[in-house]
Amino acid sequence: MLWACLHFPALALNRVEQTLPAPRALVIEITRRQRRLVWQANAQARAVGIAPGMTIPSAQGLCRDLLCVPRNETAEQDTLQELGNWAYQFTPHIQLPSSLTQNSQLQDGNSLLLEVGHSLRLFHSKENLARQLLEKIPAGFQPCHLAFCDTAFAALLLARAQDGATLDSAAPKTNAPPFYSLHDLPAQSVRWLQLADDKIALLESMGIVTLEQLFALPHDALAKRFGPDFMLYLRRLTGAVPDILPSWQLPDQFRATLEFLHELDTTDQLLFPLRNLLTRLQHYLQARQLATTELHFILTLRNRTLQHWPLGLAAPHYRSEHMLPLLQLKLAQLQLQAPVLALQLAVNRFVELPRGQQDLLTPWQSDNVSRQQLVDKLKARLGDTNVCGLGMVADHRPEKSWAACAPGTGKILADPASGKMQPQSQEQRPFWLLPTPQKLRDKKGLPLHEGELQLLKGPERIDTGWWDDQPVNRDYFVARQPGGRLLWIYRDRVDQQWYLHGIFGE
Amino acid sequence: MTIHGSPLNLLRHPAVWRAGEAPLSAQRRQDGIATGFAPLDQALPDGGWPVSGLAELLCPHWGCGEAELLLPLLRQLGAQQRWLVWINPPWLPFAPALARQGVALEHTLLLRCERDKDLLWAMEQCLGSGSCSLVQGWPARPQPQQLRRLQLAAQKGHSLGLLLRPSACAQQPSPAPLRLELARHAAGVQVRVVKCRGNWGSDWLALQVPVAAGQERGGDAVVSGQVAVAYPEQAAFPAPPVLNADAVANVLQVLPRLKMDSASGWNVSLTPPGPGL
Repeated sequence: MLWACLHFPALALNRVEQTLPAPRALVIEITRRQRRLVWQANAQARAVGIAPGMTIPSAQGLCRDLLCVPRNETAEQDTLQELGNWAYQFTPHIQLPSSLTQNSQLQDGNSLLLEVGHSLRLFHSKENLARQLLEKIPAGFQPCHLAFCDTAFAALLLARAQDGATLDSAAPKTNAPPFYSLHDLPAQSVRWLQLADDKIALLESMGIVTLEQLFALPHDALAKRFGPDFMLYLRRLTGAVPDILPSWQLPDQFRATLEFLHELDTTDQLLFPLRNLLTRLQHYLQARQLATTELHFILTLRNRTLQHWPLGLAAPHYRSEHMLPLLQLKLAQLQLQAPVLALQLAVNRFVELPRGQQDLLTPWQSDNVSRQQLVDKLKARLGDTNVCGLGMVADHRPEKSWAACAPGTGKILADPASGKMQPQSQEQRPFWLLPTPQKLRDKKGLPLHEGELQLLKGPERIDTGWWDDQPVNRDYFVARQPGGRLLWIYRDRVDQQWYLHGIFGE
Repeated sequence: MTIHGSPLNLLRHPAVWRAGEAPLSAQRRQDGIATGFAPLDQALPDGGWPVSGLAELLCPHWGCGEAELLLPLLRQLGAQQRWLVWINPPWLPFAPALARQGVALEHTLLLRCERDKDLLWAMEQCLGSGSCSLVQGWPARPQPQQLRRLQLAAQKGHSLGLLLRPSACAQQPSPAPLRLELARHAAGVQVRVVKCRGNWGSDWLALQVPVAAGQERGGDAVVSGQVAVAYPEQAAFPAPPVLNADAVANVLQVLPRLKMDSASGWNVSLTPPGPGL
């Protein structure tokens, strides 16, 4: 087995920084003995001299507009869970260290363990895999330490050992390859084991400084002094007890929340958090090989009420860069009822990922997906009702013989009642139809429209529709205008009036 | 390609056509889409409609023959699995008529835009997406730089964009590489190439518009005052007799009493209205 450990030392900071529109000094605070202390500080805060362990008042003395956010371990676990969804593209065997060990020193929950031995064939080599891992880490999760080793504990400890190196940005980043083997272990100090302080003190009082010395000791004696848990830890570290291959469970439904530190009162400000949520959704959907047609946003408003903002997509999408332009257009139409405190994205319904085919011989690349994307985009700006396809209906009434239908469905020739195909009238039909017939003046019974009309052909009587209370009883004629244009006019047999109903293209 | 030295070198650029040379259409790049009208195909540099780019069709008024001119194009482009887009047409394209002419209804996309800005936006999106084969738009007052954007989008998406504009615009310059003008003359519908790439424009060309109305007119009865007048098939554009008001009034009185001929609808054959009627 080959384990890779991704360690995010500044995960708590990263999580909060995602919701900030612009970088600024930020610290994560914890409370120890009723004192508020700086637990982690970002680069801007460290630049003005704020260091972990400082009290919040003294940190605020150094930086006036310092942002202090209390630590939220549950939210950090959720973030780590989402990073797990992202890492699912490399291996299905992912583990959080908290489920691996009882060792409380290793449980602060900012590392991911990936068993990548089974994926090496796909990625050809360890080097390639390491490069891809580091390249594809979601934006905003820096710094990140990576270490490879043969056992899970060794990888975890090696990744965490790089901690001190880069959190203090002064220390130069080592470019050593992150590949280690178990032979590297004996050279390490016992402090590296990240044991409780009393155990380290005990080891050092025994004169044991390196792991080599520790490994040389007889197991029985060690077990007697340090207990069976410690021995199990050592044996799993060295590979004497094999690691259990974990399998990652992706949640059935996607749910992600962003809580803002400041109220957002314009829709433009929502764009940045939306992009973040969509990227997370994309990782989830890619991991599950699914796409979605429904996005459901829930905005938490200032007065703690929820504003729901559901969005439907015409075709299944899974990439954030396809969904974002649509959201941008929809966002302009969104009316905020009050300033927004938090934004949640929930996706409950999924569809199979569409598989597109592309034609090699045509210069354009148009598949069903891109055609539907275009329709989505047009609908988002112009409105659903202003984008339609044309369909036919088996009805003799001209105004009912066509219908606006969903784009791409087109020819509907079935009789709505029987579902049978009916032949359309073989009579001549105009290219253009007026949406509503236009009443024409007449002179001695002859119709007028920009001059006297000359009747060329007709009448064609259409007398139907008695069954749905919209009967028509008309005699249709083809008429020619003085300018030469051909019109489709009719005389209504009920009110004896002439109407213009269509225009021939000639 | 970089141009050095005298301006004459500029003229050697392969994209520059000099009016003294043979028209590019003489070399006949046959990659255009046939218009269905041989004289027009001859006059166009691609041997037909260009497959991508922007074209303008200038009409004296809507319904002057532009639909019939475009029908062969609609029919051919409907075979591609791409949208045929209509944006703000003056009236509704009548689905049964389109279907009868062989236009693929399932690829038809009808857009309604309230503002000119939306129309040009929608047109640019459609042209640039590569998912539309033909985009027809009826803009009110487009600016030259907006048209230039459309031309670039059309080239990017391998789509043909067609702007239908009033004839009055013929005097205004336009960045569209192809401009056609339609007119109705005594002899029928005529078309003229106002501007195209690599060639001079053309004179007025008569379009033998294969209108269903024109063909059917021959065989059918024309309502006249006294009798049904049947015209022979070969008469292309018979001038039908002008109806007088009295005759039509008579016809309309008689109509309700006529019997329906099941095959062809009403066959009108009238006798002079006598006292018996």
